[in-house]
Amino acid sequence: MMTYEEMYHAYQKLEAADQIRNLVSNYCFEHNCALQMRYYRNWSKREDIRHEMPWGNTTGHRNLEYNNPWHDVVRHPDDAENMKGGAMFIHSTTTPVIEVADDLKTARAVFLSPGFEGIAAKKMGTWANSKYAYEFLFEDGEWKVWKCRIFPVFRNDYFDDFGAVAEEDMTKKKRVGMEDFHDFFRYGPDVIMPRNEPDPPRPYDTWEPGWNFGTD
Amino acid sequence: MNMQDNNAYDKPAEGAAPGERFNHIENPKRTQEEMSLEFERLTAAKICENLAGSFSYLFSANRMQEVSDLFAHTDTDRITMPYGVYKGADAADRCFLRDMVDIDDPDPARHEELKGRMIIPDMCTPIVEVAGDGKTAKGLWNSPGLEAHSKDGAGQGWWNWSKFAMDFILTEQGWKIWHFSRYLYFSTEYLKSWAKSPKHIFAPARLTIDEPAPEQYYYTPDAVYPDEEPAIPAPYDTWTE
Amino acid sequence: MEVTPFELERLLEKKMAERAVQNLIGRFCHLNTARRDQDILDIWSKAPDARIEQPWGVYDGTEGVRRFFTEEMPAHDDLEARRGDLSVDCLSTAVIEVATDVKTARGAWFSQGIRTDKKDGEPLCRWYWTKLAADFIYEDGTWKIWHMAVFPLLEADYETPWYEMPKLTQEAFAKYKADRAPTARYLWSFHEDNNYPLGHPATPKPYDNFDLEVGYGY
Repeated sequence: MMTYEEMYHAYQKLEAADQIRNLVSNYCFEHNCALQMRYYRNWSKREDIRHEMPWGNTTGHRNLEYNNPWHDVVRHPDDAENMKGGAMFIHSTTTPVIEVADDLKTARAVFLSPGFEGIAAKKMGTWANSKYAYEFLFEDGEWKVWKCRIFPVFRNDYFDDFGAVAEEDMTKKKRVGMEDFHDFFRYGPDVIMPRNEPDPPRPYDTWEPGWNFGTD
Repeated sequence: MNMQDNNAYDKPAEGAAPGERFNHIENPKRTQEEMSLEFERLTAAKICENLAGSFSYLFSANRMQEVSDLFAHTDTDRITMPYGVYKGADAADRCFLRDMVDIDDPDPARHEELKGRMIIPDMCTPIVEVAGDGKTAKGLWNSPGLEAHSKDGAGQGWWNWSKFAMDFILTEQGWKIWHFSRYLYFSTEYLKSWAKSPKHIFAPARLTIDEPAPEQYYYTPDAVYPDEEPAIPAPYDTWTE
Repeated sequence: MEVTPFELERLLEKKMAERAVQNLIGRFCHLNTARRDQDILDIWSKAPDARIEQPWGVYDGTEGVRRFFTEEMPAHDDLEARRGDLSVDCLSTAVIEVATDVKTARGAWFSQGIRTDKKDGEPLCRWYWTKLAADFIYEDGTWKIWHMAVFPLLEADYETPWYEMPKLTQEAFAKYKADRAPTARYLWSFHEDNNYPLGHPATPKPYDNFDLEVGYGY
């Protein structure tokens, strides 16, 4: 039988996991209607925040802002005009594994993300499947994103079999603020699935370096 | 914590120290033991969700030893795949390590089987019911998954929609997967709908199953979807099956 | 400890409610695939304002909900209609908030789905992605679905890519007979004429009590 203090600790861990799920899901809903610029308020104020995307990695807030490649397809709250032409992004989050540290100061989570991106007016659309890995901090009474990496799985046009089409190499597009790039998985008939994209987190007491989305 | 300290029912406001509660505060409806059990059950449900999710990531990465470690390894373990049934304490080892192939398998010929194999089982629509006694749990997930395999040097994809039903048991090593079943809705070639695609059930090259798979629903234009394949987990007190 | 055991029990009940609501919406999805209309009605609130909203309109009250699941959709006992019928919803991306008073709850989900209709006697296989919003109510000792709304997200007939699909209009839904027009402000479909709407639905925020004046975001 737990003491009341132990029960309260259990409650805090449960609540933390639910708040983190809600935070990530809310981002997906906002991105769905191109309000992803609201994403920035989800991030920690620390300058070692790390955002790792297939098209490059950034550290800090200034470069985080530059790291959004859909900079030109972002909705201003006062102006819905730039969403003309039936533009839409869908990035869902399934298969959660969320581990909150026993000390309630950090958390780690991974998700699968079946998705879609398209602009109907340009007859453009692709299935866009990827995976997310996150580290979170409890900061000023709220959970905030500390680090995030996207692992691409595939992006294919409607009549292109994802088993036959490898994702484009996004590192070829130079973007402001990119510091470095990491290799990422691209399916092929001779390719073996990567070991750690991502590594599902295990229960842990206190944060120590080394998980890093399992790519160390 | 002494419950009596919170029941300052008879304490007048004037005698209260700053910040001290002096109003009547009710006792909880549940005893400490009952509350403790409920918190354990809620925590168990989260752990089971994490187990199901971890299964997905580890299975996709062919980390089959770690997949096997998620299982309880009891004599009553059972794994039902669409291609066959494994039973007993070594069910997970046979299904995942011996048959599916582990990423660290030292045999290069076996390792070859992993090339071009991409199996991603998403876990959606989670239902996790933990028994009233906190010792077992039942879970069910919808899975809009996918597969790709190489054939004659080229890759072929399938949309692979299924359900995962897992029972879990609390062991001395913590919560583990106990019974595991996969039920296909369909497995359709990428360029063909599920009404037009030939039936496809992936099975590894080596099979050490104990029984053939039971008759299960698979989409055809004539099939009527069954009521309980499997039964949807409902609240229960203690494992009786 | 910052909370008393009494307050801790309130928090416990909130977490229990969240788990119950997740299980309930999952149960609904599986019952819906099996067209178990009577079992769906059993998990639906009997409150007079219970309802289900589809992109074409609202079905009000227990009778409206019953009519939707038995007359607008293939009924469980209509085996002929159910041959070749397969309708699956895989819910993800959950935002769930339980009221502080633990009497109601709200949730929003993405749904990666498929539908298998019939066209000219042949199965018509479709991708049918939607978003789902629901209110839940604690009624007679158990959680029930109270209000539900479905928002179209992405559709494609299997042989027709998303950007070739016709624009959704209310005329396309002429065969359905809802009780009243939809409350959703916008009928979205992936088409060049459309602007993706805000909200659609709005996700639930933490709240204390369900306020009928405010209702839910959709």
